[in-house]
Amino acid sequence: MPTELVLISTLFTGLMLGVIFSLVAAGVTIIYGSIWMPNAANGQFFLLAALALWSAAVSWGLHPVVAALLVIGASVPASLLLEQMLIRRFYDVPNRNVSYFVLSLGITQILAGLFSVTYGVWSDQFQIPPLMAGITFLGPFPVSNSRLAALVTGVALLAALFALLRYHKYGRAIRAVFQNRDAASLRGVNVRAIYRLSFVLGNLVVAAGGVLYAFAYSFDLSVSWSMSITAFAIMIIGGPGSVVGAVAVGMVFGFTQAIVSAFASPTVATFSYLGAMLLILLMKPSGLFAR
Amino acid sequence: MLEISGLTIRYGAFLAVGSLDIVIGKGDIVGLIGPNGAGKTSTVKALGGLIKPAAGRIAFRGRDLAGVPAHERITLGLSIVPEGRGIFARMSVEENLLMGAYAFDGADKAARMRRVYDLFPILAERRWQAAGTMSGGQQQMLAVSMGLMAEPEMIVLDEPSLGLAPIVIEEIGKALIRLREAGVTVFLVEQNATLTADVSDRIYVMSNGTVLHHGTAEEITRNEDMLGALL
Amino acid sequence: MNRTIVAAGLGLALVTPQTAAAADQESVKVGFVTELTGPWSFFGTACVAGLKFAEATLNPPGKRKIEFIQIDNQTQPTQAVAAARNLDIQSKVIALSGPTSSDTALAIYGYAEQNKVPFLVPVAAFPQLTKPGTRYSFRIEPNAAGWGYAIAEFVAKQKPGAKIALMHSDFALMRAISAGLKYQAAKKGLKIEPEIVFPQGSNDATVQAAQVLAANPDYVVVVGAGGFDNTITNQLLDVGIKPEKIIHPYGMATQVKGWGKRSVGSLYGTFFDANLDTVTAEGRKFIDDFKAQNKRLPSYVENYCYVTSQIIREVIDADPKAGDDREVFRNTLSALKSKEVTSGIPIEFDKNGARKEYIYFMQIQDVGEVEYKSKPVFTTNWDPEIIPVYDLVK
Repeated sequence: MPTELVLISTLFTGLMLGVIFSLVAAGVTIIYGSIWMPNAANGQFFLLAALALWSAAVSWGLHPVVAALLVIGASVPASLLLEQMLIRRFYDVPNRNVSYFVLSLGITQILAGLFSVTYGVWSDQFQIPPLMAGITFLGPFPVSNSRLAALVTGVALLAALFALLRYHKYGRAIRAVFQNRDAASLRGVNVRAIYRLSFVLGNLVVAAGGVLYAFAYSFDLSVSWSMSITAFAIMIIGGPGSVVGAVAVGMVFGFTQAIVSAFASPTVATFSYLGAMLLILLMKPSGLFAR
Repeated sequence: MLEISGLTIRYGAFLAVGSLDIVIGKGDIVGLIGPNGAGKTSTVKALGGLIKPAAGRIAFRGRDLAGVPAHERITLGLSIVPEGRGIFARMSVEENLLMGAYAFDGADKAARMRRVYDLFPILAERRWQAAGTMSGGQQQMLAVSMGLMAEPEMIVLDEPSLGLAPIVIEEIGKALIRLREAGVTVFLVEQNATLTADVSDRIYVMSNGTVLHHGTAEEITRNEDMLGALL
Repeated sequence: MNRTIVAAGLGLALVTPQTAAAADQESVKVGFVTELTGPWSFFGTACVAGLKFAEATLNPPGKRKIEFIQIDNQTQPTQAVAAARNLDIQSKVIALSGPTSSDTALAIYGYAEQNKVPFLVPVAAFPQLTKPGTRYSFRIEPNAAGWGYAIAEFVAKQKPGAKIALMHSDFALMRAISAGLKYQAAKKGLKIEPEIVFPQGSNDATVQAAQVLAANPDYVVVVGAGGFDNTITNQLLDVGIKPEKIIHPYGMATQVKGWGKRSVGSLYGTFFDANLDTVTAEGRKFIDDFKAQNKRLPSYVENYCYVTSQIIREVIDADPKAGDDREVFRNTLSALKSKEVTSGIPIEFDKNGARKEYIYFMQIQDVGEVEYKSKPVFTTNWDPEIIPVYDLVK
């Protein structure tokens, strides 16, 4: 019975973390794949969503579901505004990934500073009221329904993202832009509009990741850094611009953390990431699912 | 159908195309041949709106294309198959064909797809295969098919024979002749003079960014010395 | 504020030469470098909130004026040192105080010892702040290895030979607590199993909670960093660990609220709590005023910063020269024998500036929006060097 308990809890943890990692890494890789922006600020965007959810659900007292929809919805105008003010100015710069990286580091600093002076005071108190009460037993392993709901929602979001990219006209256009932007343009794809769409979609997915994380875990301001590094590592291993790669490697990361921390220790789990990353990059420097 | 006059393209100080004039009538198959670096691909890019010409005018069906962004040109009936085929390697054949009709929301895509499958039956067999994993000839067929999914007034093909075996080139040529029968204007930009001469009504010979010769296919092929020196 | 109570609270060892001249003198400046922004700002701002209430009664008429100069160290050691240097050289403060994190406190410690500036640390538990040879630094909060010692004492009394599961984040503070706990547990015949260390940046403890449940320990000592603390606690409770088995080495009001109603029955360590009977009248007033203004109860962090202000007042009052001479200030502080005005707990420093240490273990009884109820179940005090803290934690 104890073995089964540890086994099922390991599987659940792997899934839960994997789904969140996958969402964030997918968001990051969508933005990189289309506009070549290695968004170092992804962790801060992730945290922003979690903090906004906390404010909406705890400070304003909105129902958690309403608050979650509000936050994810608000990411759209916020992304559009940022795209309009900053991001699009670089669309014609040939080596814009470097410019973007520096720009996103700047955004990281600004947001980190802002969070520090605004939310820092409550840094030990970021907990979202549960989505729903009660627990469900997965075999001998009890899971709070709230976390289960977060997991199911995350899986549904990933499925929706895949469906969008595979079957929807605009999703196909995003992939076309990833693969060959001149050719896409000749086929009638408004590449700049797809850039904007990718930026909005990528951030929306990152925000959704932040919201689900906040439902599944308590968090503090430091989560932005670890998430940022994790998402980058996943993107690099999966192959920058590959959503399949991001999701596959995100899941592997989630399960690695769960399994290694169960059978070795949480500290070893952290190193196993880096070890896996180095090993894979040694064998395939362009990433597993690189084009 | 297409009128290019005084087209000039510069990359910084480098003059890629200097004052180019080409006229293509409706239903024609017109070839543009020339050696590497003659400015052919730059001309195609300018047609597609991917680069801005330094001077000159491109008019398609009487309309000046200067203010028309790249992605809107296909809706005017100008379908361009770029050099390197412009296919989406990680998409299936069918997805590529759907991308070919991307700009035509109301169109009966299934019917268009049937028509290109008629033209290149091998593509129907491979419809679920990732485009990048097919042979070069099949990829080229897909590229032409993508161009046709727009049911264009005019199709521009940039180097369709590049890297293909003679037997495959022949098949592409046959398809081009069938296009003409269907009333599609074809602008064939090629290094391969034989293929071009076989299918074209008229041929422009280009070198160093300008037109050297212009005539019917027979006139040009008769002047073999000039062609030999050029290509 | 009721002056008689202040006097009673301050009183005792103080025979203050109050003259009209004292009030006319230039004010005594104390540099207060704390965490107003950055990851530790929830501690620093809590501290400043506590200090603010003490400042209201800090300067009664007829006494030399004491002025705190507050500077934000952004929770960065380099900023803390820069601020300390500025306060020393530019503002010519008589003493430094303020940090609530061991990292910033250690940074200022180096500066203070080297430049002979008295340094009174309100809240920072890393043992090395009062390592042997320390001369100018004094610390109000007991050291973290000592808390671990106290946990072992508590558990040994509750259940001899008990098995303790230990789960903690990999930060200096938590390492110090577990070092003390493991040392004393071995002496008391307690078993630590399993011990699970979470690296910085950990986010999930589900599997570890399941492992702890499977190991069936008598107590679970759990301390995570920041938001992770709530995550571990929730996940332990989720898998079915009884709250009565959970010991949090330290708990502030905000933390208790975070653990929530489901943690009723859990235990936490503290050095000042609104639920203690020993709170003095002044302490009670502090609690009520603080609660009215901040919509929560104050805890030991707020209290220690309040007490910091009291101690400085007492030093200046004890020897008028202490306001102008750092050596005198240091010597007066070192010799001070007083009691916290808020709790009556003795304040006395050993040769290294460490305090006679103590802790309360409280059991949570109810958690509400503003207040929570808990009752003390164990208290102990000890000499800072009852266990070799400076060797256990380098």
